[in-house]
Amino acid sequence: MNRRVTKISWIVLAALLCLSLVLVPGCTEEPVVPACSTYIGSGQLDGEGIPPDFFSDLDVRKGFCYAFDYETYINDGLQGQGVQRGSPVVEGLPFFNLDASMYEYDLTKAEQHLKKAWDGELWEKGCKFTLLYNSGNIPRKVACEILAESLLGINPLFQINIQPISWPTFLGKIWGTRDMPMFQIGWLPDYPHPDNFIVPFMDSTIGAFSAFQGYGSAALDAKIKAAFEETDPVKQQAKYYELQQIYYDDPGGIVLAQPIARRYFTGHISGFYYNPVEPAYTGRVYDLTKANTGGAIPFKNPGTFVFQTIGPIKTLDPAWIYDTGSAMQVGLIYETLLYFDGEKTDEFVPLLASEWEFNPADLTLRFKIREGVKFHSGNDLTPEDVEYSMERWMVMDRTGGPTWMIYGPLLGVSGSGDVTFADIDGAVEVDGDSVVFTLAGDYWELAFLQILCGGWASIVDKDFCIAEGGWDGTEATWMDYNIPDDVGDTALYNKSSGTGPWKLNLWEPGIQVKVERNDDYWGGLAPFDYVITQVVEEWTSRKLALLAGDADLVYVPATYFDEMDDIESETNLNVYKDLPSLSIDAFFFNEIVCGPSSEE
Amino acid sequence: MELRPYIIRRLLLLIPVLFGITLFIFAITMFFSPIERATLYVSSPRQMADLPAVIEQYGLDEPFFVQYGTWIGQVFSGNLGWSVVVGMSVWDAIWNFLPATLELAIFATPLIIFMGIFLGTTAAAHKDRPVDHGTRVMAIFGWSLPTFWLGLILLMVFYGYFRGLLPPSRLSIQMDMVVHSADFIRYTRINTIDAILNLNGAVLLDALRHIILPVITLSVTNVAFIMRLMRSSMLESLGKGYILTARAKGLAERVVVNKHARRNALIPVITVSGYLFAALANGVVITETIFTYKGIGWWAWQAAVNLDIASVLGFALFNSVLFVLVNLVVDILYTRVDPRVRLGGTVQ
Amino acid sequence: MSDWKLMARQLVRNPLSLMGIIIIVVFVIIAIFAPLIAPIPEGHRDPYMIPRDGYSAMPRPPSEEHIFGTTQGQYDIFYGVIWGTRSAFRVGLVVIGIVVAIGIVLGSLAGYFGGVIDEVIMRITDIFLAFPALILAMAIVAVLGPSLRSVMIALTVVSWPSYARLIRGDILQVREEDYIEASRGLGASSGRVIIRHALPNAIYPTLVMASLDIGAIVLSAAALSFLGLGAPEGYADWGQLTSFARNWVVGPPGDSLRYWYAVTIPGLFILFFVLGWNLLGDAFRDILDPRLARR
Repeated sequence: MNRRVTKISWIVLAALLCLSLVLVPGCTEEPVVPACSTYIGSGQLDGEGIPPDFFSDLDVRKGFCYAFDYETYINDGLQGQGVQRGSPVVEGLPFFNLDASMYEYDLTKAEQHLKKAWDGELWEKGCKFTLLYNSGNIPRKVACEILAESLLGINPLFQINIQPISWPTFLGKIWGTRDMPMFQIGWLPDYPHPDNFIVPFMDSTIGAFSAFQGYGSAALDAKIKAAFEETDPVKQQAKYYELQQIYYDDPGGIVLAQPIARRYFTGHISGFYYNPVEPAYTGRVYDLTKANTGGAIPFKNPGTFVFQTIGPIKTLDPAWIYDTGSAMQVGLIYETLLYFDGEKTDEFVPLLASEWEFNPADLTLRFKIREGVKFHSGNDLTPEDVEYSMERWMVMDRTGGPTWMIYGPLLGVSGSGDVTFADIDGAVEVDGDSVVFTLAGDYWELAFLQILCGGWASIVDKDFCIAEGGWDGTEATWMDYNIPDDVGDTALYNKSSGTGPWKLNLWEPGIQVKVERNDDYWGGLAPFDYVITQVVEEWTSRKLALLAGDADLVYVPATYFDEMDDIESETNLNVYKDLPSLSIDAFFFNEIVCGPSSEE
Repeated sequence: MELRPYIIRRLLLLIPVLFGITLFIFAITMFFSPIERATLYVSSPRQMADLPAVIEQYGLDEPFFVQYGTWIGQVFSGNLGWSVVVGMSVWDAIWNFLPATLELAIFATPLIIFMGIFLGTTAAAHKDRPVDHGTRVMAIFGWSLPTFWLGLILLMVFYGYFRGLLPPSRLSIQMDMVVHSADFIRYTRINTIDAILNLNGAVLLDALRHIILPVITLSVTNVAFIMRLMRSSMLESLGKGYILTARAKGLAERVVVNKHARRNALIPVITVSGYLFAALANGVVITETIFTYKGIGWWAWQAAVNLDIASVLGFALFNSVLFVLVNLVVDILYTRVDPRVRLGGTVQ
Repeated sequence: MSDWKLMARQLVRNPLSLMGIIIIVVFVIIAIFAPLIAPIPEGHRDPYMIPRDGYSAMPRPPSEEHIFGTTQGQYDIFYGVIWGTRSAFRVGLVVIGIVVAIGIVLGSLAGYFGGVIDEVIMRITDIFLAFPALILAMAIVAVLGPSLRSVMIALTVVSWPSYARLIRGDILQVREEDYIEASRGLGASSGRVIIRHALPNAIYPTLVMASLDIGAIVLSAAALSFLGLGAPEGYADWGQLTSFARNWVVGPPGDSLRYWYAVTIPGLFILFFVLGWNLLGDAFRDILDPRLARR
């Protein structure tokens, strides 16, 4: 008995070990090559890799731009939901040039440029490198595949590998190790001004992308600054048109597409209008209505608006928010001095400010504060609350937060480290029934007004905030509230007293946020008793909730637009299509792989 | 060995285990560069320029032992850190998400154990006959099912095909509003129990309707495990001497099986219940994700995928403590059931 | 050698194990003849990347061109499941092979020498076992980057403690037996005693557990791929294919089961593969267990 077991055991064990030894070598990847980055092969232009400054050659970049099949990318990668653009300035922004030069998919021209590149050496020797994308992102994967196939078709010596990596690693490689030869990433606006798009793409020192690509020059930086500071609209347009042309002549990346968005409401919801800079996916909920219009989708939860989306809501503190989820909730609970007029991005309607005026002589922007407005706590809205909100925003200056947007226009700096309390205090002052801002330059007027529409500029209840342990508004304590450690450390993280049409009812982080109607709202009763935002990561659950009437609006990723087209014809949905979203994706060239050679 | 010193000794062993686990996880996270770990705190490209500031603020580029030491210090002062993925402190996150998982466990565990015992006993008592083969195939089939696939299929049939009969998530919107209203007191935040305590039939029914599919998904895969164990240990004890004696005495087969064999066969099942805990801990991750039943498993997955180290560490601590406690209870139970085993003796 | 025939006959006579063997043999044939069954298209570089017929997200039903239809992203399901068989075998066998090897080494050391070595090894296994395997595996894959290789490493790290414990336990039992004393008395060195006497008897429960575990390993790998932490998109891996199905579980109203093929087919392959190994392992156990054989 023992002998039988022994024999069997040994034979099976040996078989297992042999098998694993045979299979293991098949699993290992190629050995790491001694270049500064694993993604550039040998690091030389010898056909087995590319040098770290490969993309500094203009012909290489132009060749790649011509070699990209934009139509297939939009049709297949974005399911047709995109429009090609030639530069970072997209439709919806002021000074957008519809006739700007754009690259076309032209293999002949691509070949011409690539033959010239690196004095013909590239064409002779070929190249080999790796393209990376963040795993799970299909459009970016498709873009990589399109580029790789194109280049291979032009010259079989152009060998490109494609590899997915996780999102944190991807971000770490862009801004940390910088070892990817090309990377795709998109830009979302903070405020709808072309400067907010051009700087990250083209400014060589502070551009969120360009500074890390080795793109641009001091001369170009000066042009960017000059365009922003220009006050004559005609000249300003000329300058921005020039900048858009520069990006065509000297591409920092293959500009992909401006995505086109859609919204899928149930048939019972109407009143939606699209403003590309509105952070809430729902649009302004205050302007929606819900009524039973019959049809296949059941009418449930009258008086309640249910929205299902992905991504957690981080905080309810206006001075902290920088993500759309939190921004939406802040937009329901709080209000700003003014807001964008309907669908426009450069015209405004008064909100908590009843009127405003800019005086170019002393660079002051004066807002008259509306009377008769109450906070949820019962306190009255006064100019002191406005002053407090702005100063609190500057004082908090949380790391990676939105505070730079008020420091720039008012004090010309980027953070609280560069100022004293006296500067903060002096930037915003109460004057009778008004609040007065002193701008750093007259060219800031439009941009600053746009910034003031954002949720971060919401007006908070000073007395309430102090009572909840927030900053008391004096110089003595401001350092205690400067740069908080964690998002939960702020007084208004999960408590609120705003002036908005709704107030906080329930917050279960990661699960849902519920707001209830503010019966004392100054602007007239809100159309819904409750607005519920639920976090549901599964697309199928969201889809079924929408079709069952359990949700009034759900987040629909572009991948499923085709599927929804089928469904749309069989049921009563209210669909809004062809909404140009204010963002742009680009396939950036890294001209200094592994960082500049002199530093680090 | 006395009970109390034994318990104390086992609990003391908890400490090196906790250190070991947290050290290991910390070591893994050190594979990530400070920049990669900093990306947890920023969400837009504009903020990326602030990455160096984020790194400095959270001390992400300090040497390994400094960071570990800081974390240990914080833990001892009661601060488990901030869970960025769900926007609350780690302690609050555990507290918040535990009830959902407990609810699943409360329903799934008895189902698994009793089904397993019943099937195992039946199979053993009729060894090699059709009943035996039948139940074995059924259980093995269940164990071979990928949990995530089973979940998807169940959703496909009972939520899609039958138009919302058994929906995912914990409660419907209407019942959720009831639960959060002032009239409803949430004693445990386990919806079924709270519904009973509040004498609210509608909520109870709704909660049950939502919990059926996740519990089935969790149970099917684990029943086989228990069943097989029960069967083999039943077979073992049925072959023992005292059974022969009982049969010789003329006792009815049913009495032989139920009274004598089963009691002894339960021993390994009790041991295994401890491992069942680990199996469930694995199962809930996928189940909770597919059915949007947000509990600890879902939270742990979100944390792992987003490199939310504080959450992962907090979860590790919590899970380890629970695991050691469960094992301790199991070992003590073991001694109660089997008089031959002494505490601290050579337990298998 | 007649022992083999005896065991083989027992295995064949038992209908369950027979079913298991047949299933496994079918999969082995599929794996070996994959290039013939699902030929690699022209100019396709990596046979493990499933060829795609366009980029549209909506799965298309089975047709002449695509026998099992296509899944999200127009990946051919037939190609995917056939070549996925190879991936499954690779993951299962490699992980089990390495894990058994580690378990034998560490388990023997712990079991035979006892004392400090035993305590240390046991504490280390405690640490690993006190953590849910899936979460730990997820963390490891997240660190190493999603790929089949990371999955194998993660599953190895997570699975070895049970084997070490098992072998240690059996060695402990066997250690006190007379024939061990005898050979030690005769002057045999410890290593020799372990390898020639203690191990062989300890091995068979390991084999039982290993054969059962191949199924569990493939399940865990599929789960990791499903969660997005395994093979990259488009890779021929069953878990990967099922993860696409996640979004197509329910079709349009009135035709909710439209995309059944995307959901069912990859899952069925996983199910039957694991089923085969479980059936075999179960029968294996019955046969090799001397206590049961006495009846």
